Amino acid sequence: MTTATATTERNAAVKLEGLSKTYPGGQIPAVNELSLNVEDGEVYTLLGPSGCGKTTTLRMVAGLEIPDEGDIYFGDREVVVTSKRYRLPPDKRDLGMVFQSYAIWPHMTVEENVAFPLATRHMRRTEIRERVAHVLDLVGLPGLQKRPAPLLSGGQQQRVALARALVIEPKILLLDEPFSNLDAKLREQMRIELKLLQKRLNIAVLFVTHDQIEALSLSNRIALMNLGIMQQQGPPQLLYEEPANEFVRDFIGKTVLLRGKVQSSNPSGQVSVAIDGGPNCVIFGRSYNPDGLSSGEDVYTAIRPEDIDVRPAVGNDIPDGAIAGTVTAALFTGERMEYQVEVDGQGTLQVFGERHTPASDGNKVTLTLRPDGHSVWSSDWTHTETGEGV
Amino acid sequence: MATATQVARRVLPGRIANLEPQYVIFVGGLGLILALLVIAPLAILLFYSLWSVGPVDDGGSFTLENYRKTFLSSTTYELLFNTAVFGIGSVAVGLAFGVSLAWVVERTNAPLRNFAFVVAIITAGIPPLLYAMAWVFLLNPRTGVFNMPFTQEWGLGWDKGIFNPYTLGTLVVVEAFRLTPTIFLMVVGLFRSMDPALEEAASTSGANMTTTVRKVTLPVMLPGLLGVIIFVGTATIGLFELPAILGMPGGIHVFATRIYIAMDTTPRDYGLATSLGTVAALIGIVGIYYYHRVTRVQQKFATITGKGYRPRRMDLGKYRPWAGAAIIGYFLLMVVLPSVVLIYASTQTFFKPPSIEAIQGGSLEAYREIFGQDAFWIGLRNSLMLIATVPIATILLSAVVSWIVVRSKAPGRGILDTLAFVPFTAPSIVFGLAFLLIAFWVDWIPVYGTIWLIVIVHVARFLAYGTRATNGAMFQLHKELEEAGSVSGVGWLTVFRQITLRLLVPSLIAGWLWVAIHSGRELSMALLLSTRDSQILSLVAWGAWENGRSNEAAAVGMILMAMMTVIVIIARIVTVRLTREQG
Ligand SMILES: Nc1ncnc2c1ncn2[C@@H]1O[C@H](COP(=O)(O)OP(=O)(O)OP(=O)(O)O)[C@@H](O)[C@H]1O
Ligand SMILES: [Mg+2]
Repeated sequence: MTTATATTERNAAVKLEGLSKTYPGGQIPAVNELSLNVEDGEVYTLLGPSGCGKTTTLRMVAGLEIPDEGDIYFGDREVVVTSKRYRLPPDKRDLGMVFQSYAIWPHMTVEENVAFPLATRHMRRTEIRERVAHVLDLVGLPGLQKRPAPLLSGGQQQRVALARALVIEPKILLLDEPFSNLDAKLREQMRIELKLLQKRLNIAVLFVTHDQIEALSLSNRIALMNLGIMQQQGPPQLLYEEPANEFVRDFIGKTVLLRGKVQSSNPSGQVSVAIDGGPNCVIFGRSYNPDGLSSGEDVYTAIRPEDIDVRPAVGNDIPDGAIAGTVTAALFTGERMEYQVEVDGQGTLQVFGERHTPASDGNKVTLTLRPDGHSVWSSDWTHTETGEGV
Repeated sequence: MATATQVARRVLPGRIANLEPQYVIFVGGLGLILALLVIAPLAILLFYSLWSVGPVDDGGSFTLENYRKTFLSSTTYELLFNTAVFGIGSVAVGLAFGVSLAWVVERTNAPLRNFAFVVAIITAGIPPLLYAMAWVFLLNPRTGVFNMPFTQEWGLGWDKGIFNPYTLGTLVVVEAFRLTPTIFLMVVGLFRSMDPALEEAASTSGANMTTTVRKVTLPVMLPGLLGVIIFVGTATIGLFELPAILGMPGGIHVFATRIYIAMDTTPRDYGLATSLGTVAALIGIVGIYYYHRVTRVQQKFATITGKGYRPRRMDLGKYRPWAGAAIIGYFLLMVVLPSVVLIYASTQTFFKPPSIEAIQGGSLEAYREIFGQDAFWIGLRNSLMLIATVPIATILLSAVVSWIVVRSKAPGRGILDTLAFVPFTAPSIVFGLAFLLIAFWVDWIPVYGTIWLIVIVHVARFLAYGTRATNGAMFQLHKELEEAGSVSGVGWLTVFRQITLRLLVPSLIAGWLWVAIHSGRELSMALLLSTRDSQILSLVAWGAWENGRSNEAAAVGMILMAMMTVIVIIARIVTVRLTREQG
């Protein structure tokens, strides 16, 4: 690859343009007209439910699958150009990849595994040894060179896989659910280490996961996919706070949907909604309905559970900006309380409260809503099935 | 089934009381039976190789004379050389065919891949005797089908063609053809158990295809390949049928044929036969020792396979039709031609190269002839008897042994496992020889001259294969599956019937089928043991062949093949039914 030049208009480290792939015998495309850029030094995450085409995308970037349609560029380098029937083979792409199964070669030692990418590049032996030692330090496995691969633990295998991917100091690192075989503790630790490492090396990382916590915490940007189609891309916060459609809203995090009526709306999409169940509860949000909303229309307002403040009711007053309800079930989950609350005109809602002032079954509570920053949806939508969510 | 259920009770979770007296008696008894079936014959073989007279004579004393004579004879070294060339050569060539075919079928987008599979499964069951006969018809210098361009008037009109079935080279190639489907099926298994990401990781690491194959694919498969090599190599070294039909006419002897000759002369040369047999068994034991070691390494290599196994198939591009042609060529050369020529040969009183007149002049005379012989009907009855008794006995015994070996913590279970595997070490004919010696030794048990002696020998021999199959099945059957059943509150008998048996049955049927095919077609063990009344079909075919009645040999062979095919089809239907039932 060309060393960084002074050009201000550099191409992204990885650029996918209109990538499509249908497997032989597949009914619908596994990946459908996908375009995205991964910048240098960025962690870009492909997120989505099982079978949405994340692995397929990653494999096309690595050269392990051939796209039917679309182009791939690494910086200024052409990698796949369908119209020219041009395709760089995987061994010429100079990237690092960590497979979900780690794919540590069982007939080699740790050192041989990690040295392999250098050996295929005909590097001198002494230099290989130095770089292997260096990268093993980097992933936290110093001195493990001579260990036969079958004797490694799961976490160690994962680190060796990472070391092998990093040893050529690639500009691009591809990770396919690298933490899915690790237990929860180790997973958290590896996540932090990966983030630190990536910052230090300033490489572009294309990361695949269907764990949204992992995606939200690790990524600079996320692309959420469903059925091979990109639903929304952007920084984690954007997807969380301004979901582009119902799928994104329901996939990322939890939402509580509250019925209400539009009071007013302005052309830029800002809407004020009077929520059913409270005498004076008007909150603001943004609508993604392209046709706009009219006053008095029935709508749903999507509120994140942490934007609802649950407290035992004081007397019969319902404060402004709040609705009232009755607890039908209260669960202590350790860090907080989880309630089922029956609210007039809303039905049963699932909300969280802090643990110091718990309410119990049958208690009256008030739910105070954060006044703005919600998303507002027409009431004729259908609830999307995601099967995921925390 | 009774024994299996009793064992079930013994070793069900929570009931493993190892040192209960009945348990010790049960395991000990089983060990004794295995020792009698397995160790006794080999011990007796060793004894007579060190004894001055054979089993029919009285007296005798300890001696090393047999070995001295054997090892001073130059024919022994010729024989060792031939056996080595035969074993190494045919395994090497067969491996080249089998591995490349497996690669094409598993890792490329060649057409007809499933077809290649079906063909391999069917042909892995062809009796070696028939296969050898077919190649004689194909390669015979004067009348061989492949020599027709040289010998016929429409061709060069030579006296002899260039192909000759009676050479060591031909022997190697024909055995390689015969081994190809077996090797193919085993190597496909190896490919499937290998995580394709291992290869993909190599290519994303910058290795091109040849480097990937050289540095990753082959080394990862090496332990598995070594296992395959030792497995088929040991079988080939002990093989009788091919060297008998293709080697002996040209004076090319291997262990098995030499032992046969020693026992076929009058008076029988027990000294030579037993000393050669002991040497062959020792070679087998060394082979098995390495087989065990190698397969143990392979288990260590077993990697966590990522979810969603999907090997990347190489796009052959413009070579795709060629790969298809190669698969068809394989099918024609190794299956169709030998089968067709056998059918044809069974209609020809004297084998003539196929021509319109020859086909028109064909008759079913040979079939009429054999149907008129008592020997045929005795052979048919006995062969059916073998198929009815040997596979079921072998599989049940294997299942019980495996159950103890895999599931219980009984002391001595490792010994049981080893015992069950020992018969694999000796060539079949040596095993037959050993049982012949036993039959003379314990002549108060009236089994000599009956089919039951052959049944016992077969069970003892096939136990080695049977326990491999049932061990595998028991390993796969996770203990939790049974425990989940117990925990859900049903009795152990229900657990055994509804869970254990249900899950095991497909593997048991597969094992049964394997033993049925091999027992039904087996020749060399019965060769030394059969009398007039304990004839079996393969022996009838062999007898006809030896007496120059090739059409009758082919006809009996065709009937044997038909029987085997029916068995395969029935077993297949039953398995499909059962697996469908399980959903
Ligand atoms: N080799 C293949 N042949 C046929 N279909 C395939 C193949 N690989 C993937 N698919 C299909 O393509 C679609 C996308 O698969 P992909 O593996 O990219 O999903 P994913 O997002 O990685 O899912 P997961 O989170 O489960 O790993 C799925 O419907 C899958 O069944
Ligand atoms: Mg995936």
